[in-house]
Amino acid sequence: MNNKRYFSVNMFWQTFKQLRAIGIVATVLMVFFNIVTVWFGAIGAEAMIKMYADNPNYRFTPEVVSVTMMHEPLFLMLWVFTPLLALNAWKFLNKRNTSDFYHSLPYTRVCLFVSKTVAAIAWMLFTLVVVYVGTAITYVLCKKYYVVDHVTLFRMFLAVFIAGLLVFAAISMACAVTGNGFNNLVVSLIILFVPRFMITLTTSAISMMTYIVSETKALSFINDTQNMVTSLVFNTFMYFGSSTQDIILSVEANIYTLVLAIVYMVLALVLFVRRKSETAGKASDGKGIDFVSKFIVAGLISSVGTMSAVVDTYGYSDISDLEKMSYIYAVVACFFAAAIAVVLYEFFASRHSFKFKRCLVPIGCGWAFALLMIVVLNVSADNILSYKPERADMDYVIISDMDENDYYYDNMEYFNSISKKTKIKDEKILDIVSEALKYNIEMVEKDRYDEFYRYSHENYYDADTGMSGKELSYVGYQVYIKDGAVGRYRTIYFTSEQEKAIVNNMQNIKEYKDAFYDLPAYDKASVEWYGYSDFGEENSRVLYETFLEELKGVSFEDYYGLIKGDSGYAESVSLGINFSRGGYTYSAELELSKKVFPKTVNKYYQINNKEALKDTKAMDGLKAALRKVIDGKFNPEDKGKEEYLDACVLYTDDSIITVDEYVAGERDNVRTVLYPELLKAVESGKEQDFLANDKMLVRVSYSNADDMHNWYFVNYFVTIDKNLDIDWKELFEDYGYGVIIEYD
Amino acid sequence: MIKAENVSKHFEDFVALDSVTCNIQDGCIYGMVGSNGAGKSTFLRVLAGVYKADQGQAYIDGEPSYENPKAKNKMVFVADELFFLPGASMNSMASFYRSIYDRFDDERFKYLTGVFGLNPRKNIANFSKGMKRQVAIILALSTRAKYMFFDETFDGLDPVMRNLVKKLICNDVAELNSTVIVTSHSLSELEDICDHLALLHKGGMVLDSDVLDLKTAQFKVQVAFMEPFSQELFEGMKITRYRQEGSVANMIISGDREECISKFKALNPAVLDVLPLTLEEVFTYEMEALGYNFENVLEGMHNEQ
Repeated sequence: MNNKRYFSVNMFWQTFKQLRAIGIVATVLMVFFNIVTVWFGAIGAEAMIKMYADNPNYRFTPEVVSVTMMHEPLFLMLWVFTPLLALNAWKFLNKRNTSDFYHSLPYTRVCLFVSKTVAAIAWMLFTLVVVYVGTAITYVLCKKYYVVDHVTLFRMFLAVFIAGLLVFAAISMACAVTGNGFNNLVVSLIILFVPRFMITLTTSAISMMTYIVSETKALSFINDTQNMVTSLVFNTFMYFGSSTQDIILSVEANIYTLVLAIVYMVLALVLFVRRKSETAGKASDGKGIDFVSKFIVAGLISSVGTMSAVVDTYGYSDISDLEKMSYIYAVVACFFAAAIAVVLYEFFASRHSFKFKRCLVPIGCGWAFALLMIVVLNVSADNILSYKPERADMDYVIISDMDENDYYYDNMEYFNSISKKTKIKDEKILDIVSEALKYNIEMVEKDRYDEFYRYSHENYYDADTGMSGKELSYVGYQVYIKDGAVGRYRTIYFTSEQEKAIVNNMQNIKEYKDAFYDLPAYDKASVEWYGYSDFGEENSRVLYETFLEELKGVSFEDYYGLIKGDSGYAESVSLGINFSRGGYTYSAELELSKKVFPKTVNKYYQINNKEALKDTKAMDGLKAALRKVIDGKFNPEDKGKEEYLDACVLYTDDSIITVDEYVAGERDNVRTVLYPELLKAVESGKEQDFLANDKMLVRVSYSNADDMHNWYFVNYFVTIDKNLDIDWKELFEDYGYGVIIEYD
Repeated sequence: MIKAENVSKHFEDFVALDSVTCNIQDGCIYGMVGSNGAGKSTFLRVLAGVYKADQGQAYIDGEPSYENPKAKNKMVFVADELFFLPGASMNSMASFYRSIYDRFDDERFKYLTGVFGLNPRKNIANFSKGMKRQVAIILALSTRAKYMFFDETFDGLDPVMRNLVKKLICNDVAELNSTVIVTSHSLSELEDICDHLALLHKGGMVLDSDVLDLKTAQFKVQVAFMEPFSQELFEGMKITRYRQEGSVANMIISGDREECISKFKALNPAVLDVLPLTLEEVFTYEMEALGYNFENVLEGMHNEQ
């Protein structure tokens, strides 16, 4: 397809060569940042492994590579190299001699645009492919140190490429209608950010007026994550409830951004073809573009004033005395600022041909637009508050936690994320949503919505009414109501009873329950057993596989209880799982109690003891310390400062008693009855069955430091007879933690 | 053949071209003169397909030149403000031109580079203004384009190079039947090379004529008689300008030169000198005949020089 009408390989190649400096620098720098940082991480990890090679308690845990880790160097492509490629590809349009030269060549404008665009995009693609292949290979070579989801890695690069296309297209559009560097940049920024900023401004205003829609979800068909470029930038300055990985890995966002890029590209082509060569060096290609740019500046700034006035006055029948009519000042100030901004724009864009009269019409139209926004906002808010669906009106709902703090971090909490993906059709829940939404709207209309905030905090206490947050607890959720082609989002506060009913009914949804059980295999995750010691790769694998096997037989109620933190104070086993799935990086934390996961916990104790026995120095120290306590020689006042002994008795599943050397000093039966039992169990060194119901579990911990002040420590689990001559209840009252639920 | 039909071009309120119509035959060296803002460069850009005419159309071999690669492939345009790729040498610019112009002639490029004595590997940015202009001419001539447009290309060249360029252009026209349009502020620059001249003034083409016709159609006669005489003596001759001081008369006559000389000789003059007109004189007289005050136009052109 090397003709001079639509695409010329020669012009493509010439442009490719002209852009090579930027392309090569981009490739080298990004390879450096992406690949070298991975290598450095691996070298650091290897150094750690070597440093702790002699420490049996150290096990290296590979890092789960998150989108945040991956994307940061890639953003050089988006924010630096793509704009440079675009501005350089089109800079010939800014000078008369270069513009005339290129337009005199035997190519159509379509051919010139397409060939140059393809050349610039080829550099983007080349750079990203080189960096992607390099990064993927590096991660494969360093798989010992990283857990990488290669699908995510690919999607990450793809997303950056798509976002880059949008940036390129927007700049191309700007360059096609402007004729100097200043206007190239200003109009590029206007094209890229102003439409989305205006939408965000509008939705924020609607959110502040109605309360029941969040600023990001006020218009369900337009949400903040759709445009990857704007949302990534806006997220840098303010939190809109979406994480980087949300934005980058959302298929909807990828498609939306790609479609927008294609639309912009086509528009850029049309504008380029219509562009007059004589525009070079001028502010813009014709009065129309000049007007539109100034109108946008005027309209945007003026709208800030009218919107803030509408937000301040919405819902009030008499606004004449409202805060001394401060909203009027806001409108006047913004209208004035808009006029100044347009005049400054004209000054900088036109310089020598500055004409004040060219500013008047755009300023007037901008003011008119801002006044129109008053009507738009009022109508929109009224419409939102009038939406009160019944159960039959809803196809399904999706309920997400409103507290989306997870998004601030690299990883999303896996169990919390499940509800965000569950389509709820349960009639009871739909009824609750309908009822709660109506009540929320009623509270808005009565101007009592702030009670939701106050009574959603347990510590809140209202001295006037005597009501506390605990008594009237509300919990806020983000609810997506699917009721048509696109559905709507609402922020709904539920009462505690409603929340409990929702949670109970959620358990009837199979896909919701199944997702809790769908944990990754060992090789697909970075697994960490937190606690008193770590015990090597093989033990970790065996234990995790035991856990997965046992999980299949655990009831949802028990399992869900553990997830929600019902494992109590018992000597539970802490498990951390980090993994990547479907492009998202998740973390899951579980406290495995002996009651729910007996086999796993039993195995954990056995493995712990097997590994502890290998550390003879620590074990000898432990035994010696136990003997000293029994002999009454382990005086805390005399002992070396760095030597500690501790025994923690699992009193019930939900309570423990700490009987350390101090307790042994205070309680004779602890020293003479309990500690000899502990010593006997430790000295026997036999593998024990920790599942026996007639025994009590005790964790014995010992730590000390050698002459070089190097710490060593050991934890050893033992079981002792429940019927020892010890008043456990009394001991618990003095030294215990937790709640006694049941004890024989 | 190049054809312009009622071509008009405005830049906001400024009229750069106002219904310009002309036909330029193949194998012609067409000179265009005019002051700044007369529309010379704009006209060339419209012909070269750089600018789109607001009204009218420019045609190359019967096809519109704007957005037409087929027509544009036959032409090369050397603008008054030159452009070379950043950091380019003559060789890299030749490579660029080679990839664009189908008939780019490497042998000719090498030959011309040698003729002008330029280093093809040196960065063009380090060349002098005149050398850069030479580079642009070399590249244009190497394209072997059928139509070549030079916008004030001779301005800035020293006399030796100017003559060399003119010679090369004339050779191309002779060998390839190329058509060349050259614009200049200076009429004298074009006088010895063009075979057709046009004068643009305030966007309009006020004169468009064959140089030979211009030069031969009028001539200057100085004649003296021993006896007193007046203009009536020369009745029957087409005198466009007549001035007499005593026994000596100077006049501009249009018509057949030999026939006029015979008529004068028959009057038995004491002195008879028949002199050719300079192009400047021809233009002055022609313009006056058309009702323009060419002195003002010339003054403007001289001031620019």
